[in-house]
Amino acid sequence: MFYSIYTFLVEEAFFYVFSFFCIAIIFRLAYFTLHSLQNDPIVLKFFNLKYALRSLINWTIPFKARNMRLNPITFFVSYLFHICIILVPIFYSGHIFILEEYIDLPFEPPMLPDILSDVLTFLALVSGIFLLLRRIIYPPARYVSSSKDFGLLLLVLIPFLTGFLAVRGIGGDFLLFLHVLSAELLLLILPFTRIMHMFLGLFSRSYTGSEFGAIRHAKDW
Amino acid sequence: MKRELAQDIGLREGIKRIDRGKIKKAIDLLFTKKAETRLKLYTSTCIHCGLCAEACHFYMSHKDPSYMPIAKVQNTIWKLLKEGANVNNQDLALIAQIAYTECNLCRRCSMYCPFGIDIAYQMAMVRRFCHLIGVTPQYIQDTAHSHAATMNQMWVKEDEWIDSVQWQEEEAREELPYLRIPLEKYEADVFYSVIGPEPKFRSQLIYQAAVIMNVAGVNWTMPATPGWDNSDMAMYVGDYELMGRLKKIHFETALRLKCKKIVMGECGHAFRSVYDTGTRWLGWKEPPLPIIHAVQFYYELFKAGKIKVGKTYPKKVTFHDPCNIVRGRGLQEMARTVVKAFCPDFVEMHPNREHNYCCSAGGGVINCGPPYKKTRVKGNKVKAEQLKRTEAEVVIAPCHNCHGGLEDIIHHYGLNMEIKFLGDIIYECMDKSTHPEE
Repeated sequence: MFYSIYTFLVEEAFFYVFSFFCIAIIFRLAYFTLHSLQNDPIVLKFFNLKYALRSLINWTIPFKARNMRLNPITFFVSYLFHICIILVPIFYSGHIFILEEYIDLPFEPPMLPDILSDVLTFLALVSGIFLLLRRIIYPPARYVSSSKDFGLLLLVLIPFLTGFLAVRGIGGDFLLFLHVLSAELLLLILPFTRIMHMFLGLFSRSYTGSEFGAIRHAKDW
Repeated sequence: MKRELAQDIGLREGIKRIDRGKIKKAIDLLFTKKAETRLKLYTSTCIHCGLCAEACHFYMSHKDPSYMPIAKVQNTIWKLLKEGANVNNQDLALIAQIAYTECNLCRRCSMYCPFGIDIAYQMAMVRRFCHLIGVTPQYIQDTAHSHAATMNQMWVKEDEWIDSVQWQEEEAREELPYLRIPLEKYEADVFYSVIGPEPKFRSQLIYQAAVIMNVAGVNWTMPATPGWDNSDMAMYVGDYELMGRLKKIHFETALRLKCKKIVMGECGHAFRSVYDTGTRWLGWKEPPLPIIHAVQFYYELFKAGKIKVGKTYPKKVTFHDPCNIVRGRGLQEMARTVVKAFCPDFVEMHPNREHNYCCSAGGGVINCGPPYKKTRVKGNKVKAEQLKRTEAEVVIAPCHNCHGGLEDIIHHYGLNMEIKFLGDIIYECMDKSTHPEE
């Protein structure tokens, strides 16, 4: 029975979940853009591409911003965490093989060597646990963290944990099933949670960068 | 969060006259139905990481997470979003107390947030909320009343203004017999505006500015009508309608006199209001005529050779970067050029420039008066330590609020430092022997 549900999850369900995920994100981003036209025209009036990019670039370069230098460990681990959780799901060979079963890709898709995928997954788990512990131990983070923040981080880590174990043959089909289920669940709720910071963060950074660069003639990093 | 409600009649009496309908309307307008996109975006983006903590001097001084920037948002906006119009009165007063007296709107935290979330903007929105429901600290509300009635911050009457200016002119003519403070002169190059406290209790600044203008041979004027005051406590109270009136009369006075540009005295918040916040409220993307801050004006005069170093300043000095002209307008290098020319013994404080710690008086906090003096002085121990490390005898701060704030900090922590405006240094050390018309 597991097998049939698993096939359903991987085939049809994934198609719907992923489409929903993309559409929901586009809607959310469009909502903010259109909302600003009507309710906050200042945002687009003062948007400045040059300074938005300046801010984004300076905040992408590791340890360029002063805050990164003040908190090197936190930022190092965050970088690691984000790199791992973005690279592995997209470029893990197993995922690409499944994709190729259903879609003829016109190009040779880039893949991570399996050993690297393993290492990155492990690092994602370790860094994720670090961020979780940081929320408990570091007083400022604890002060603003709610149960939702912990739950969300755990929800992000579950597909990585189950995937990591499933690849090792631990837990058998059940774990594989759990892996797919948790990942799809995550995709479904992601557009409505703080994980949207991956897109919305670009918006707020760009706007602040525009203000700081074009109006205030100052650096914002 | 452990906070006691201050002995402030504005908050204590304000909550007794609360109207729930008004609260609901204000929440809808500012935080929910009609909220600006930025507010919604910031609320959805913040991942509660706490990385803004070290940006705030209140947190750095107390090491208490309830003082960190996002905690202030949590205890105000998020609380209002959660509880809506049913939020209890005591909490409402505390919300006002946090927004008015525990945040200087210095915008340092938006440089520390990985997403550039503007917490000062959010605190300004909370202040606007408090203004709309009528719960505001008494002292700052009084300055707003003064603005509304007299178009200046300090209840200065029209004749008193003219009198003060002419008095300073008379005084200064003993030093420079050719000196004039031209009132109501048409088509001058420079329309010089100051803030209310200058004629009220820092009149020597008008004297000094007049000396600098006259020695440099600037074609300048000051108005004899309301509109001479560029300050804006309405902006910090959250009364944007009044802010609009203030900025309008200021611009219109300069335009009535057909002046080419506005030069503002050494005040930070007024500069923020005139070139940025107030201008936007009036619907202008850019101010209707060029506006420069005194620091930039002195820099330009110095570069043009119109003010020359007569003698160097003998003491060891450091420079405090005011938020509104440095993080708000990038004047840090211009200021340093002038300071270094006059003061050979110059030492930087660390962190400096955009990363400088706030004076803890700005953002209207000092204007909230005596009930909150302890909050801002104790909340800025980190500034005292920063100043102490420089071992300088004099700190130059080209901003009125910074002056008030630093003075209290220096006294409270026993630092034995003097505070000067940039104009003080220039006036004292410039070469006054050249008569421009000779």
